[in-house]
Amino acid sequence: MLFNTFIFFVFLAAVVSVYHFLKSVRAQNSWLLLCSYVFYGFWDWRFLGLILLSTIIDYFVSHGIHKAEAPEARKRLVTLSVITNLSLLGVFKYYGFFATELNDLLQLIGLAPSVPILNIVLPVGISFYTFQTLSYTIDIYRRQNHPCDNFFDFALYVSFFPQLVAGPIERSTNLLPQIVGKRTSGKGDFSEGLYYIACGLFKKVVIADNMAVLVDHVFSQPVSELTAVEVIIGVYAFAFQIYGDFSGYSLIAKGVARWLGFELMWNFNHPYFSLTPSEFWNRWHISLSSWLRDYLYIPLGGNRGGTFFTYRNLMATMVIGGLWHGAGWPFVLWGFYQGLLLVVFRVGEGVSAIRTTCTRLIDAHPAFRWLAIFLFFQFVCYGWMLFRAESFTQIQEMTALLFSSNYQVTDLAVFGLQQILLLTAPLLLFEAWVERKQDRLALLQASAPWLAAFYGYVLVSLLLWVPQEKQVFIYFQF
Amino acid sequence: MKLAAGFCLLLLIAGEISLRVLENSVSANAAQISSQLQELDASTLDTVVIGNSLSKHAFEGRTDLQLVTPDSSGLYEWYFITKHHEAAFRQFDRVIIAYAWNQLSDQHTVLLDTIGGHLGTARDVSDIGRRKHLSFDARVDYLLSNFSKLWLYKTRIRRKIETLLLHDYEQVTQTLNAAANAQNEGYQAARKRSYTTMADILERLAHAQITVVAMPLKADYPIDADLVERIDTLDNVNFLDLRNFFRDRNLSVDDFYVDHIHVNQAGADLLSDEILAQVKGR
Repeated sequence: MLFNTFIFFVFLAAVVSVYHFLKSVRAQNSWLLLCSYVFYGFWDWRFLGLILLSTIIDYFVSHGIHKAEAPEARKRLVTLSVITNLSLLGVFKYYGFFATELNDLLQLIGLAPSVPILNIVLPVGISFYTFQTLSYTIDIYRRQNHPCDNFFDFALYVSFFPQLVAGPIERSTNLLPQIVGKRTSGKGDFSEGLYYIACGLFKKVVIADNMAVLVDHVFSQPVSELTAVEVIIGVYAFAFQIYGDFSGYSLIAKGVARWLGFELMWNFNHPYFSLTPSEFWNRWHISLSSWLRDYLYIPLGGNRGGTFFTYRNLMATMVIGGLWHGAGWPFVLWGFYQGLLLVVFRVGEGVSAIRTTCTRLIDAHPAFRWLAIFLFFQFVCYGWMLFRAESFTQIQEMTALLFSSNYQVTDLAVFGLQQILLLTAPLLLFEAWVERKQDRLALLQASAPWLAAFYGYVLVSLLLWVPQEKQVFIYFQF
Repeated sequence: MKLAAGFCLLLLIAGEISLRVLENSVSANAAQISSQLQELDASTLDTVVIGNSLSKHAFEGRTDLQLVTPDSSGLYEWYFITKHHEAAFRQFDRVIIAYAWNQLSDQHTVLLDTIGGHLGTARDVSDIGRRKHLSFDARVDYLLSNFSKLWLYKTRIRRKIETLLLHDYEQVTQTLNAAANAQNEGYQAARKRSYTTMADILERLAHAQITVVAMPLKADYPIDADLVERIDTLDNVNFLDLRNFFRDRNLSVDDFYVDHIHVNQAGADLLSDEILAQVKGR
């Protein structure tokens, strides 16, 4: 059940109507839990067992950790939770990849490939809810949170349908108190939720799904039949496709949750206005980057062990972050590239002459700031090329093409650039305005004609720019 | 918020009224469908071609054939045309169904807006509902197209805007669509396809000699062996594989197409002669 389908909105109408009819939190939570399981079961009911297993283990382990006094016992229990959750993720998401690689390696050294290859279907959203439950257990272990008393409340925390399959990865400290406590709905909740949903649908349907056609074309062609300009346009299109797709999903999730009286975290904050990789990761997929920071980078030592260890920890965190996105070497390479960017920029920032010159230039005139943003966007886009590429060979060939002299401007390139500008320029201008206002809900405070113009534009765009084929959200596969 | 809601409602109503008034100037397809269906009902010819723009380009201008070839149509459009004009089809001794890719399988991507707007009625919803391969969204699409001209013509309006604003729109989108179709074929190739709607059409036309033609495109595409096997079991249906029509005759495909999928006049002359010779030679 995709957020951009009619059936989802029929489902949502039923959920919201019954939900607001119910008076007690207990009844509302039971209803939401039932709906969340129906929502997930709509893809494949067999995988409901996995969520239930994760929920049962983490519920009882968290209580065990809380009750246990001895540090050893607490450690054993948290290890049990981590191993169980990561094993589920490992089997369903990574087994096929590692088995294939191992067989290739065995063949390379002259041995017969002996690791059985199983065709395991990847359960939708497993990476998201696994990380969400892991953070809960670890927070209990760290005594940063108390275990949830009611099993069904905890089950709702794990399976809450707006963010179940593609995040944001909610922390128990944010979502659980909202589940357990009484929810109050304010006068502005509906319009706020509608605003998020309208923005999210626009990003997904108008931007991402229309960019997908161009992206799929460029990345499905033999590189020898492309020019460097076409590759650049294809990668730009992918940059907006993945941004529209994922941030669109997060916004719809936030809007739906708002209609149910919940406040989910912001998962994106205009990432393409970043100047540095660390700023980018503070604005892109915030729930994952903060998860990786709190549960991986800092436990590895963070920046406490000196320069070398800081760089090592950054690289390790980003490579694992890359692997989280998918079982494939291009994702690992993308993670490595992101780590490298972080390290290189950190080295540059460490040199005071470079830091001072850059800061002075950027502050001298807004045009320099925008130029710097545009330049950094090129680094981000090269990363997206690694992320989207079908194979290492394609990465090599596309990279070589970018450094060649084949910069012929073709009809496809002109068309692609115009389409990107036609669809994304209004979005970027709007985001620049919001960025300047430093208030993500600034539009809701704007005068009525502006609000009418905004909704009119979104409505017309959603009506006219619906692509012929509804595209699955990219992050569902992660 | 109330002003915004009112403004949006006003936009929708204004768009709907404008399109109802200006329908014929917005959509050449609407006029084409309507005139083809009128001609179909009044036809005295013995051979009819069911297809889309592929066959329209291949047979246009021939006076010995009745064409039912709405642009961008496919299996489900053809199903509803044969359903609502069953009596007209009874007079034809020969039926040619021209297709490409996997257009005859139930799983082929389908947009029901043309059917909803031009070919079906609100009563057909139950028929749509019986076709289990159509998604819930496709059914809603059907109903909205039946109810609203704005919904029906949304793609056409978009096309007009993009033709005005984007460089070489028609040519580039055809390239992109052809690549997307080829890729989709690749994904679909591994899947098991079914042909229940196709079987319904063939059953409805059981009185006639039917020829199913796999039309030639610039690029080759696979044919599902299941489809051919099913057709082989029917006495009155013949399968004609012309995917490589030009290549098999050592002709350069570039000389016979106006774009990636539609033949030019020279291509049409050769192709339609061949198809008719085969159909009439049976």
